[in-house]
Amino acid sequence: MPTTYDPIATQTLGSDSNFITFNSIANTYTDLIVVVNGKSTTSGPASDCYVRLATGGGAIDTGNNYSTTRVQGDGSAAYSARTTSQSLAQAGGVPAGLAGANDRGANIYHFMNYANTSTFKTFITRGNSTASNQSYGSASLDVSLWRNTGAITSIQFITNGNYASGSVFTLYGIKAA
Amino acid sequence: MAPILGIWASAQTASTLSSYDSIATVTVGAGGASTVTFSSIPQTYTHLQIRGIARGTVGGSDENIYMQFNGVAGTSYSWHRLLGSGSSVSSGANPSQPSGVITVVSASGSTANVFGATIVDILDYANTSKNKTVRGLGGSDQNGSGYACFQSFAFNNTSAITSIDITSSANWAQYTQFALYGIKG
Repeated sequence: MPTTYDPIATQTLGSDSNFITFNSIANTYTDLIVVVNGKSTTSGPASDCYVRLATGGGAIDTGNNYSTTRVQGDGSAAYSARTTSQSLAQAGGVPAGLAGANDRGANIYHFMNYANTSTFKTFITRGNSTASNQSYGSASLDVSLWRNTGAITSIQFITNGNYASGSVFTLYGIKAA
Repeated sequence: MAPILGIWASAQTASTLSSYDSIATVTVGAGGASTVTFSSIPQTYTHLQIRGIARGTVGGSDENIYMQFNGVAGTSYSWHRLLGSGSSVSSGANPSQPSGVITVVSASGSTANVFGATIVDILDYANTSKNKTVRGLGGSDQNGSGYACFQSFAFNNTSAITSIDITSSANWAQYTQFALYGIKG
């Protein structure tokens, strides 16, 4: 059986940044997974996170081609929300400025069949964001759509404010037989 | 220590990378397919994972992914789900079913080119002493409709799983793809 779960690249922020981008992603895998362990510098206990994509080695798509359906629990209630025709996809969340100094959120992004050129791209995000000193946290599942049939060649991760220095982004590739 | 499913990627180290193997992949061709089958599944792993994109040909905009193991139907499956519709959350369950239900994906009434996605973990599938538990997450966003879904089902049978049939209410559309992976302990 072929070994199929490969680390491709890791970026660790040396300073605060509003976004990070993985470029020049090869089309040699079936799915991509990105693990984000980070924090936002914005005020409040937590911040939403967002994704933008590109194809053909071109520029990041900032058109209104993204949408998301979310189900989330925040410790007191479960709810569902939706965004449509946005310029970026809402996906995951991280602790923010009011969270404890050592708090970090974990988002795992699954870009399914990212290299095919026949279907729009659906990606799944499992998000967890906990502010230890705010009695605030959430667990979420986001299913997002990018209305583009092109193979994904760049992925950009964005948050409100900045991702804090030390936030880590790791890209993996899964290759099917 | 073996990584915990669901945080698999974050638990990877160089020494464990070879414990996640591709076993087989099926991509539905033109004309569609009623069933995607993985048979003669090796018994050498601890867990199985199925990853895929899917679109059914049934009318309407939503379709379920159904699974049967070892060709067993009857009343051997029971499932639970947590479903977000974009405006509300619901939970459902159904015991004694002829198949397990694991994710909601898109269907023929969905916008063209929209495929749902699913990640399914089949735990301790080769064990012969206990019933089998399956969990999935996924859904289908359709830019104004669709679902996000956590789901699990039980296969009330202690046999090792040697084959998996994946069906819908009608057929799977072209470009539907399911990939089977094995995870070693």
